[in-house]
Amino acid sequence: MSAIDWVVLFGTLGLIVAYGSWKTRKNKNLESYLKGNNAENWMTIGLSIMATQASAITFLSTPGQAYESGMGFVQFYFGLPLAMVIISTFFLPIYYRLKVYTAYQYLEDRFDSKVRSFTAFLFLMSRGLAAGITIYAPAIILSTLLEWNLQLTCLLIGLLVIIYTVSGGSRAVSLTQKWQMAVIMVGMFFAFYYVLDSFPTDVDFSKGVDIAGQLGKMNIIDTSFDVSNRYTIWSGLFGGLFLFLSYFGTDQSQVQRYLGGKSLKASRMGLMMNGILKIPMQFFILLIGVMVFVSFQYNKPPIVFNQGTIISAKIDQKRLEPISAKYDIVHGYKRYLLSQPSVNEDPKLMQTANIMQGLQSDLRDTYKAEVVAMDPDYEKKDADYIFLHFVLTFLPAGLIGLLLAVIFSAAMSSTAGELNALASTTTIDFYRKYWARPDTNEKKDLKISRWLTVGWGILAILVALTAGLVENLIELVNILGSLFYGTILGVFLVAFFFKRVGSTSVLIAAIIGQVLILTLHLLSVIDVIELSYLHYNIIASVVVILTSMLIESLTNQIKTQE
Amino acid sequence: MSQPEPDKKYWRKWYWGLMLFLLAQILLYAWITNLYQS
Repeated sequence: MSAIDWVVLFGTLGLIVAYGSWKTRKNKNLESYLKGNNAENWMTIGLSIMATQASAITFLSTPGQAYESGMGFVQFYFGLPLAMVIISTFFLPIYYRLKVYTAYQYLEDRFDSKVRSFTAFLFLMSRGLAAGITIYAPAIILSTLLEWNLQLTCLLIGLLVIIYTVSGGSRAVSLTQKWQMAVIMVGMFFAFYYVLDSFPTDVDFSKGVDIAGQLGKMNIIDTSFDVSNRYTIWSGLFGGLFLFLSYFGTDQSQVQRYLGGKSLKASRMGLMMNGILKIPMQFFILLIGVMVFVSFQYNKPPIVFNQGTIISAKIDQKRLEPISAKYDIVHGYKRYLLSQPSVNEDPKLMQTANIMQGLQSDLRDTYKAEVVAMDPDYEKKDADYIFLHFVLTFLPAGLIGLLLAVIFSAAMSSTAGELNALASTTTIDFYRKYWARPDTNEKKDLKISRWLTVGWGILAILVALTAGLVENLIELVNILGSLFYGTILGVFLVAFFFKRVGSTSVLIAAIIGQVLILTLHLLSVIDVIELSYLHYNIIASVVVILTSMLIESLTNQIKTQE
Repeated sequence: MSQPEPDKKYWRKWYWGLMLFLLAQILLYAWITNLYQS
């Protein structure tokens, strides 16, 4: 990395942190700290919602995913616009009317304090650890490719976030997210330009798309009903709807973003903005990944992208060299085929190129298997490294710094949203409710809220620092999230749509739903059943709704008989 | 909430617009997919 990259990276990050802290330095009460004094306009809300969802791993993994499996991942977001409409119509007006700080406060109004505390507790469980992973996941990739110290990278991201989240609260989070999102978008457009720039002179964008299509990367829509296929139009529309309803409607890190709106209209507009822009944005990021794939048809890609994680002392290069040599030959021949002027019109040429593509992918797998045989700790999944490898190889000095600022901004914006939400939930749903003394005042509560933000921040950093010790921690946290999300959504759906169901029924149903999901998960871990954790959301929500209705009608029958 | 909120009709237009936009995107993606299916 050149000096100008360092200046751009730290200049951008420093300016954003300073701006967020300066603009919100006059935060004097809890209302302004947790809800930003209801001052945000729709655009800030919209950008803030998008920035909270887009973590660094979105910008690292998504292009890599497109590189490997094409554009199909975009289907995952098809349920999102409908989720925005449902939240705008049913969830938002109630949150506004009750003037809540957290989504869980509403549950006390609708049911009782037990349901509220139970649901808030599930949220803290699933988000508490996740905040650490939001820091760790990009830090491991950055530190591998740039040879930075992993612990220092985690500390840098964590501490920068704590500075403005603690001092400025929710408003600082939203204001900084707006600028972080701007940096992210500008950076991604530059990346797109330079991917196209790396093509040979006779290949333009439309020829690039054509080549990608012929090599099977433009299969966007999958209408099959195969359950083992993770991304189909059906799993996107239905599974996605439930996932995004629970994420945007009941996860405090998102609810807090739109509760800070000037008015109900501003919050709704913010959600609409997310509904309009999200799918095109994901499409664009995936397209960058596909174009990186096209670029590597002409520019030789490394056989694996996470070469830096292989411990050379354990490796016998002689076993790997023949595979690398074959890989180079296959790539050279494919490049020759794709460079023929008639390639797009000649099906035979394309067919051979496709066979070479398959061979290349097989050789990659053989190479990885060979490395694992010598170094069992080697992580075979290298897709997350592809995009950053491209950036470091093909982008000019200065822009590398900007793209790194994109990754850092994304990591910081989602971590900030999470810390802010964790602190609010602990303050409002636990501290104020159970532990605050009767003589407590706003000033004291604000102080507690600040310290809780520091506390959650330190916990996130500690999780990030120790994450490397636990095998597959990232997956564990994703699973942990799915384990609780469905139950939380189930409780909220009963609250909104099944007015007859009371608090005892819903609490029992939530506990049953939670135990069932934990049991199903255990069974799938010991291979008794085959069930992807992506389905937990729907199952838990439906179980909570049906069981609570059943219990309610049974207790009503018993009451009438008595 | 200082200003009066727009009525249901106003939002209905937004919601329908958003759903149509989703449909248009799905159709566009289906068309691209179809283009390269041999």
